[in-house]
Amino acid sequence: MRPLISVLAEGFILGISTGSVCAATCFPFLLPYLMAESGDGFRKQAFLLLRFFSGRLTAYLLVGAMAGWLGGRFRGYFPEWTHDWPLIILASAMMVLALERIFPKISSCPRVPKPFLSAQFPFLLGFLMGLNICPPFLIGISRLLEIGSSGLGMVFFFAFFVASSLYLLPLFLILPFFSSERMRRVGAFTSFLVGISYLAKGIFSLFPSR
Amino acid sequence: MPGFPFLISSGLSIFIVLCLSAPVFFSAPGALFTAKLAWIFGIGFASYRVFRTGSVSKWRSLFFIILAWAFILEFKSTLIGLSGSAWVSPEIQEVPYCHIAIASTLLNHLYHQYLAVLSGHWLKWSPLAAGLFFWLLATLSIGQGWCSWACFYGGLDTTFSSFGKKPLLKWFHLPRGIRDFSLALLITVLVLSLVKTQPIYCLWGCPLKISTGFLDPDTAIRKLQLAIFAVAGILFIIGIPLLIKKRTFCTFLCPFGAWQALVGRISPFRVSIRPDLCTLCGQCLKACPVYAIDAEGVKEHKISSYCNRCGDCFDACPTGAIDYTIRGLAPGTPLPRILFLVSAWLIGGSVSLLFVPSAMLKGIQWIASI
Repeated sequence: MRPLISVLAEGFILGISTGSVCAATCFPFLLPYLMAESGDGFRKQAFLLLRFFSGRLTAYLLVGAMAGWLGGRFRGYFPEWTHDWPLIILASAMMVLALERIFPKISSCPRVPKPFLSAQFPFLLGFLMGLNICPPFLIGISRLLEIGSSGLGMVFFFAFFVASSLYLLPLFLILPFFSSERMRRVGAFTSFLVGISYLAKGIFSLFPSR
Repeated sequence: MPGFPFLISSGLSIFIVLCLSAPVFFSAPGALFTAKLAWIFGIGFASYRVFRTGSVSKWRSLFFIILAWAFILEFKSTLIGLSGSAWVSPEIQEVPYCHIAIASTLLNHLYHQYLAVLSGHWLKWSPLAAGLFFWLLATLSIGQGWCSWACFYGGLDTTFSSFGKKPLLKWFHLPRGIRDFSLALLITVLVLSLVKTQPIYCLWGCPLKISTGFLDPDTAIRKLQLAIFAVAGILFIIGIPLLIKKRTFCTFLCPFGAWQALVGRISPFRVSIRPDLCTLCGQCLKACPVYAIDAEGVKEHKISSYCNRCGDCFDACPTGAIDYTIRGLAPGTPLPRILFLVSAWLIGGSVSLLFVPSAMLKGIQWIASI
């Protein structure tokens, strides 16, 4: 019981102390996405945000379990490219979604119905944001590599998720301002611009000698 | 005797001379002193012509274009004096501070102010504070009018959009929602600047570095920044304005324009279409350089908040249906026009006096040396 509480507390403290960094990572993606996709009514908007959080939680639990299971076997070894690809995929997905919003007649996946894609995207966004490796995330992983248990890994990242999510809660307060069609269009443009910015960042990170 | 317009314009000229002459009185007699007096006289004459002819667009555009090019001349010549080069200058790598940066780095400054307050440094004002004070005064007074009367960058695309009587490409209508691109750009640079603690727009997007120093392209990222600057500048300040006679940089790429459209509503001045005089001819839509009037707006006699009070539509309107109005005051009286123009000439004149006389002198010296 003691290690469980200890790991919970560790994850929570790490999340609280570095949550502003997590918020800074998530915010540029989440704000324009919410602007572009949120419909009328607080309930619908809140549901969108909850699906994002569930995606993020899934990614954290998955990484927590993996990092714990890998234990000391690959301790300290994470290739550079694992840091950059989630960002590149996430930025590209944001741009594709924004383009679909701006040009409704275009469809990136003609075989998949648009409502299905729209419904799954918040989860995917949260999942990719969760995989996006930022400094607090790396600290957590390195700690789990020491602990070496998949169960405790999931507990650690669950606590980390709860604490770092507190910094994203103010988004609920500004959701009501995004209910107009005009703001949704602005959100789509913003998503596209943020996507370009992070895609460039990800691509530049792949070539360190610049 | 021109009568009432003459009284107004001479009163305005005297007022401008009194308000703007403070720096002149503190100048030592000499060439610069004379240049300042000459420029004030020029502003007075331009304002007189506006009141005399009733046409705002022509004299405002001329003043606005001089403002922009004088700013470049003054800044570039200062740079040459400092670093020996007007172009790529490795010594000068600081991001220029200007009113466009007020909008795009506002969150950063608020955050720094918050940290200063928390650390007990109550008197440690952010560099934004002084600029913010002047901006607030200007915005309270003329609102979005800043973008057509006092911005020392807006005259650049105005210059190129002024060539020719008719546009080569008639792009009078924008696809739905495209006009809000500048608002999206504003939100993007606000958030990214805060997250990355860098003035993202100044580093990456702003083609107005033409007025200041470029960063040395010694890395791939710098080369990319310089390429974006060059492409955006050539397209949106020179190329597209030449083709379609619209101010495309101000319309699409200026986050400050979007910022003013949001905050400028605190100014009492508006531009309104009088339904009883409007014939729905659409000339205003064609004349508006910043796409502030669209087809729906003409039908509903509404002008969007992106209007920056340039007055081009007044002159284009065959029935005189468009004019300055004051919120809460019935349209059709000359008072709003007089009050707005007095304020606009004063604010634009105050800004111009900081660098136009000096640039005039440098220009004359260069011409004489040739």
